[in-house]
Amino acid sequence: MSNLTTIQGEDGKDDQHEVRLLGWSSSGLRCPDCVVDFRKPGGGTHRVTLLQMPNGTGKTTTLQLLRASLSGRSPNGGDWTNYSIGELRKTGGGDTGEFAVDLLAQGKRWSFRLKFYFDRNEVDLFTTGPSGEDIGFKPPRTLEPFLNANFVRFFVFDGELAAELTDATKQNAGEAVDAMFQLNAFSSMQLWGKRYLESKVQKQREGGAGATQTSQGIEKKKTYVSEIESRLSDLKSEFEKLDEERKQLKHEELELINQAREAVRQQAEYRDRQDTALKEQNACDLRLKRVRTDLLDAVRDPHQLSPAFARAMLEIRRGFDEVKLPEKSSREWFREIADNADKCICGTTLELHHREHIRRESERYLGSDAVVLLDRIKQDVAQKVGELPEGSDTNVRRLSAELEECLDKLGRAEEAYQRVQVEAANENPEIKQTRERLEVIQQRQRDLAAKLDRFDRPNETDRPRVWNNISEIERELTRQKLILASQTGTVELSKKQRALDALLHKVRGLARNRLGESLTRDVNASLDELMPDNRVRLESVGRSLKLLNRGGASVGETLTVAYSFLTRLSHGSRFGLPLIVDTPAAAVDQHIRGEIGRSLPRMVGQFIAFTISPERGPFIEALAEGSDGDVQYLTLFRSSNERLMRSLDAAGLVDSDVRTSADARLVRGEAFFNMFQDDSKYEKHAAI
Amino acid sequence: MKKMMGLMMIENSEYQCDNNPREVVAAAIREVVAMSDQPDEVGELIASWYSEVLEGNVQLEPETAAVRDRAFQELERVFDRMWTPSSESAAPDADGLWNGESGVDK
Repeated sequence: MSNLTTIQGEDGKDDQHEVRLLGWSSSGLRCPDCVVDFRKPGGGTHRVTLLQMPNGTGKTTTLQLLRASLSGRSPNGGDWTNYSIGELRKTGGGDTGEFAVDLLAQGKRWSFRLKFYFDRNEVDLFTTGPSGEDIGFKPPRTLEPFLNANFVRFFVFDGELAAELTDATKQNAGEAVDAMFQLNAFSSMQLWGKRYLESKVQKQREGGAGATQTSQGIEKKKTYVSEIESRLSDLKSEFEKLDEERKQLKHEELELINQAREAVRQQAEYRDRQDTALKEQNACDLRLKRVRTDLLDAVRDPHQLSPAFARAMLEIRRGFDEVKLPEKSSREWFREIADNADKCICGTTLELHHREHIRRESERYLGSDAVVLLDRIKQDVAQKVGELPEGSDTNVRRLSAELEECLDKLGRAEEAYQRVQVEAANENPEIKQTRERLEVIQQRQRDLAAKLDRFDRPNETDRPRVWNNISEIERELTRQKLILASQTGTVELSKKQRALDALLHKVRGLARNRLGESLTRDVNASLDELMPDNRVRLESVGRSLKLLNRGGASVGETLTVAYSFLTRLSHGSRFGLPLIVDTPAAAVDQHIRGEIGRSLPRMVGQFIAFTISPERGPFIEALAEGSDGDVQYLTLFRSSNERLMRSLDAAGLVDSDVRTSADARLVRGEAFFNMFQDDSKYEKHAAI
Repeated sequence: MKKMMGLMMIENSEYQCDNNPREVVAAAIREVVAMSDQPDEVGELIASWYSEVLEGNVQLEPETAAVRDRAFQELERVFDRMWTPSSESAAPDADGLWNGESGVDK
């Protein structure tokens, strides 16, 4: 059980869908032994808790253990068996250690406990819920989308995540939207649809329906279909990721091209030359498009490619004329005589055996459908090729020459443009830098194109595991599923299941887009308030956050966007999660700290900041202001620091304000929080 | 006709459900179904299912007999109301595999 012995009953003040961190306890670990409590004496939790911890007190370890406890995974997000738990052991500590976190969710208290056995490198997980303690990590099912290694980083905020949110190669933003609004439910529905069909197939087989196939044969077919499905799913997810990166790179490329153009335009001596080159480029582009279309249309006619084809086509027509085709080809005419005439055209009276002979022989002649076709061929050859084959390729030759000329002109216009850019870059370091970044982006685009190329190559083997062509695989999957359905008598259901599957797939995509648009508007509204003079805004929310003017975004601005995104995400969801952040103001630009400090507590129901003394000032004051004074001030330090211990003695606090453990002191109160001075010199925070 | 109604619905619903994610998702469901060949009722059933998931009344994972039965009941209701898609051929598209297919090889 948790070491939080002072937890009172469920407060009932929190909304059913609010999740609150009640506290945590730690012993025998690298972070100090302590019990941290976020509850207010009268019930509920403090809106803001500021936990001041000098560097070296174990902030990073505590955050890692919080994420581990709330996800059931090791601090690096993986399985515990691959983690060396000795890293968490207290220096000179015992063979065991323990970390426990208490949550209030939907009015019920949940405790997640990690028990470490350092001597045998093992960890046991325990979950305590309304029905008692259970072995393992077993969160309530409504919280499963949030209490996992991926999502927990969003609310026990990992600073690196801010950069990852805007990294096109990562999918964190999209995953957060999926989890927060439970869009994964649609994938689960798709999976259930598949299972339902499988269960019906099984029942039909057991009932003997569609039993033209052996059980073994059907089983093998099912395995084959599963293999195809699995490959398709892997490829799609890989393709989507690469495609998203491709779009992002394209976007960045266009932005850099525009930046470089704009910068050159500012230099009078190059402006006109660049404009002329661009104008010429555009004109060539337009002409090239027209010529290309005309040429493609022309080469569809074989005679336009070469007089040899024209000659051969005229030969065919002449051949038809010589054998009097299609006039002679009249199967129906002979049948008419055999069926209805009394006499043959030679005057012979038609007996039964004559009629049968005529009918039999009529098969040697063409029917009316073939006559129509032959007529069309003759007409087309006459109309398109004319009478003489010579010169039939004139049009294609002319268009080819024009195409070459266009390409040549375009190449020269591009060269002229590049020359202006290079000359301007040689004089202006800013343009040079932009062009260097552009080259890096273009190289990455080429690398990516090579990776994407394999999705278009034909599948050459019969082993799904090595297939790459997605559209071919989709067609094959549909075909194999229909075969399986026909063998098991579930064709109708199979078709409905696929229709439902397609609907749910579209629903998930559309819902994602709409929620992304809504979040983008909300985040930008929030950025308008936080950074009114700044151009950094959100362009869209996809798998990652796409920023407008990304090139100019500082670390602090990116972090501000990340805060806005996370808080708006939480605000829009029906689940209110706490937000726990390490040194929240450190990277934020000085002039907007106040605004961010004021807005954070208004956007989340519970905000917990691990802070250091240099962070005090406008940001902390603004946090207090934003929370209407509902702030808990805590200071945690190691008792081995004699100077800090002396300052505690000098403060003359009452015992109830100080919680003592074997290696630390946890002090409650604003006065001590504000007078506390960490004497450590840490370069990374020197600029705060 | 149904698709035209779907398009009208999309035009009219734009941003109507701003700031209410549950409504945003419900609108997306309605729009997708309106654009499909399926009856609108199917959309209502999917929306109701999603709503139940949000409420925590429908468990998607892990699978137990009770969870599976509940999910299957929901699906049966959906499939009962669905129309069999007409655009898809009922027969496999080639090679005589429909009758002569061994069920073993590709």
